[in-house]
Amino acid sequence: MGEDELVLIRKSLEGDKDAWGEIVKRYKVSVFGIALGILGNPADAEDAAQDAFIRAYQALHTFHLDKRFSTWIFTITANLCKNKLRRDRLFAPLKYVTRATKSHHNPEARLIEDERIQTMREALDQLSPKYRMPLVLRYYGDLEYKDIAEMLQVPEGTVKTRIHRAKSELKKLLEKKGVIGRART
Amino acid sequence: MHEHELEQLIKETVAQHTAAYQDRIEDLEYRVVDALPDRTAVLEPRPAWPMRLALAATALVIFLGGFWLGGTLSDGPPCADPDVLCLVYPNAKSVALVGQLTYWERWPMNGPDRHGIWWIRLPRNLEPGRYEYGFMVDEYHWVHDPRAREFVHTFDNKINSVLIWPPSRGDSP
Repeated sequence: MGEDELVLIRKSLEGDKDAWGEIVKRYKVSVFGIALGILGNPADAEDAAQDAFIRAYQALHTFHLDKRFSTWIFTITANLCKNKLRRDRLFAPLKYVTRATKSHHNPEARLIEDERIQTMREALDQLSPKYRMPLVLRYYGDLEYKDIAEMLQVPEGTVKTRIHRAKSELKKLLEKKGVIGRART
Repeated sequence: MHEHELEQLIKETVAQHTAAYQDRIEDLEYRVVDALPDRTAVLEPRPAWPMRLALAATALVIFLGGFWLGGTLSDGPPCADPDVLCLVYPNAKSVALVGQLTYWERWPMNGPDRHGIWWIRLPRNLEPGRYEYGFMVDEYHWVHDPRAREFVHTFDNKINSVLIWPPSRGDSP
């Protein structure tokens, strides 16, 4: 962690909200990205990102200054997303089906995505959260397996297995869409 | 497709998706700062034996005398209190409360007492609501609270206990 970042966190601990605003500014894109990768819905991801920064501020005294701040804030974000997915599953089980089969893209956003990206996004949407979450945390969040394991409260081996299965599933989906050929896999 | 190509594509996909909606978080820092509570109201783990309670207990001990002192000490953890969570787990080396109210951080519990009871008092300023939680025993085993009135299954086949914190209790000083 950079020295200036440490200063910002210390100031935030003392109640300096502007210092926390600077932290938010630095991490908002990656936190929003984690939430969007897990939830798939921009509006939900926006809420999750905002909530994550507020909760992180409230729980800042539990953060160990010798650890990576990004890992800690991503953990809070992922747990909020996990809770959101759980609530959705409990109270609106059909929402998943709808979300997995319908695109939430606006036309402008759609234009900038090439076919591979678009297909991959649809494939990621089709994965169950159980597999999508570790995948996003690992390859977008750059989190270590052990951090993901701790976050999901499963052994490290389980995380590796889930990521392996998720990638296999993605390959199959991409093959099915013709984005990658069988011979190359 | 090679593994690293697939991994790169995953990263790019999430990054592009994020960039496409980045306007949604343009002013996020301002919204967050506006919504932040004052530091004095920040949620903090409440000590198991706070000063005020310690003073009250001391006064009670002086008032009631030695006979009652013995009785008080033998009562053990205050598991009957509605704001105390308890777990009987005599063989555990450590037990931590983990859940929505701890922001999924581990809050070490007190104990064990001579009966193997671990306990933790909930934060005094806990906001009314519904909180999922569990106990992390020996840093690894996820254990539900047998005293909880409600439980939920997680998508990874675990059981979370549910705490309903009513407004009247949350509003109390």
